Amino acid sequence: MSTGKVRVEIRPWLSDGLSPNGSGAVVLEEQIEKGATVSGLLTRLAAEHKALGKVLFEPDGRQLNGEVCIVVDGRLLQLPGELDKGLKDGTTITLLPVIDGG
Amino acid sequence: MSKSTVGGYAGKILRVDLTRERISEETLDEATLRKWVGGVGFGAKYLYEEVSPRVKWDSPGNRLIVASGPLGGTRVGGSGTISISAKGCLTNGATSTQANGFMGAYMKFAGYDAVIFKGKAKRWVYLYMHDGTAELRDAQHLVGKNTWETEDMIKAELGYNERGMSVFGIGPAGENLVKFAGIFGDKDHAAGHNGIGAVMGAKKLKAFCAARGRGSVPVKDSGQLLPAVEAIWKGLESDPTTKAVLDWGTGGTYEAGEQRVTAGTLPVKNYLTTLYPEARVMTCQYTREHWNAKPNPCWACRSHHCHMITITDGPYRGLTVEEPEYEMFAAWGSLVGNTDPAEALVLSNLLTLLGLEGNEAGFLMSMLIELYEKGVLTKKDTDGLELTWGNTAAMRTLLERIAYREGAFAKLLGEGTVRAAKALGKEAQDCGIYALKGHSPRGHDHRGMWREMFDTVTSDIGTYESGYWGPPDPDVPGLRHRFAPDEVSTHIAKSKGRRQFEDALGTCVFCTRVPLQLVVNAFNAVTGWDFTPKEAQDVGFRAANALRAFNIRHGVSVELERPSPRWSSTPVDGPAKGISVEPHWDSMLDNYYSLMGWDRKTGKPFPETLKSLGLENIAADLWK
Repeated sequence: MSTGKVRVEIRPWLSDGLSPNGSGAVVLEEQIEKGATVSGLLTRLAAEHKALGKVLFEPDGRQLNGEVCIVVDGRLLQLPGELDKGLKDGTTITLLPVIDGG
Repeated sequence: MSKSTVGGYAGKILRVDLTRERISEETLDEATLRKWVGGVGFGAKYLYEEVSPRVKWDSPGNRLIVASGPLGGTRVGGSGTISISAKGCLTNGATSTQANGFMGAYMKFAGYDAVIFKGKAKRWVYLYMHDGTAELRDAQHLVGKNTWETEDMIKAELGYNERGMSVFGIGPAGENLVKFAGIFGDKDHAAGHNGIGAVMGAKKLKAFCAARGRGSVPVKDSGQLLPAVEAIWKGLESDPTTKAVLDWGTGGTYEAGEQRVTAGTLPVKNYLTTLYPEARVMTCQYTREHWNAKPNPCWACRSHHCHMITITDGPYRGLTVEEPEYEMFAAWGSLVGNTDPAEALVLSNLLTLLGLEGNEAGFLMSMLIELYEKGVLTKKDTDGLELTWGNTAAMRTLLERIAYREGAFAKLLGEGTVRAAKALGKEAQDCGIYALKGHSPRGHDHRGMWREMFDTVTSDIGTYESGYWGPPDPDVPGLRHRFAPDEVSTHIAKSKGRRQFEDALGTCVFCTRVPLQLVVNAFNAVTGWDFTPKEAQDVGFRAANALRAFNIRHGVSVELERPSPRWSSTPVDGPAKGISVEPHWDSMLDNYYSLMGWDRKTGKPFPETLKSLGLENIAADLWK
């Protein structure tokens, strides 16, 4: 039974395989159940959207790709263990690629 | 060394004694080539062997080592890159700094794998390499000329068109021994770190140039090289992160600009905030959509990275400048509170013309602005300049004064951020962004990017030296959790050597950012050797250890392996708000040293580490 809704913003170029015209950000509104976690939600989305799974996870399909930034309600989420924190209704998750410099 | 046995090498090292104005040549045997390869490897070898601790950065005994690599001048993308190594003046330790363009190809066509300058000329000179020979020519008429004027005048007097010759030189900043002067060339490229331009200026060497000529680089197995090159390009284009740079340069798209704010890595107003609504205009997509953009690719590069931009409106209408890299958009945009992209382009180009390294200049400027805005500095201190956020006119004036050492204030600033902060007092030392070793970082808010902060602080070359930012590579571990102290320090230690190997090849790292095996395949095809990825990374690890040993002997203390207080401060807003690296710093160093096989107390690589790399002589020097 759904206990809430979470907004997932997928920014270019992670969104390239999902966007209807091949580019631009994609926003998903996802129902969550009690006990839902960030990693659980991302695993589910990867299974539903193969193109997203390829960029989110390493080839083994188990480990999240370190080249992806995960921002939850405006805060970077990259400590081990934080990915298993619970989600609540109204949370916004932003997925964006790591961009270095030069 | 026989040209017929090893591919990729021109076969000669050029020795230039500037004091005596004598030029000689030498060769290296195959074993030495396999050990050091080229580029930063040659830099590490010659610095350690020939620059003793008694030699200062501006002594005639310092070496300026300009090296290509075995892939330089081949079909491998971006293979016109040079590594320039010396004892640098910000850290008084080693530096190895790379510049792209054409020199790494042309000097090999002219017959040389590397040039080693020593001494100090009695008159200003430049070196001209062509057709298997080299000569020193008078450069008195070039003194005071900016880097673009220098390049154009040398080509004109020697009779070469734009792509017929590669020229690298110093501007007024290098001539006046500004400690963050760089070496600039091919209009769009810089080797900037650790005051390498001042080292060149101290030798009265204005420029070095190489003609395109008719030479070529011997390749052992062309049949293997072509598929290896294609595999590298395919790898680059199949990875969205690397492809984004190929398509839009490091300055990137509008989304890339905004995403740096979302990720907490854009440096804003001396780290006082992480918020910057104007991020999207400080991008290559903005400059290419609003003004005329002309591609300016390096040797053998298929990417759309480098461009020249002609501004078509506003007060700078008609001005042609090089399109900034991301770090220059950051330095002259968000870091100094400027929101006008045209002003950022003009400031970035001014640095090139004057011959000043932009990251050091940017962090110096942002520190000064904060001090001025707080009233710590006044117009009396700044010789009348109003150093406020976004006052780009004042910034331009100050940069020129620094390059020409005009006035006491500018003269002090020419010593670099760390020395300037020390002289200006505690408030400056509290807000300056720098490594205690003596230099500024590159243009990021590293409080959202711990790996580059840690890499830069522990580096031995005056800028970062490690890390891998490409698609998953089975031979080089990536980083999964950006704020996990053990993972960050482990990643930097375990990937040490990969970047150095790339910088030994004569290639641009943006064109080799693929699994190491693919790069090694191209390397083996050119040389005829049979390297594995492990052996390749060992070449780089060897160079890193030699440079570490050099720095230890030259007094660069491990006590200095810390970021300044502001650099390691805790963000007050944005996505990394409240996340602090400082409490973890010592444990990160402990882990790093353990994995590197280095002594935590002294910083020295252990004897067994050095011996495993064939550096028995260094082990004997350090541990006698």
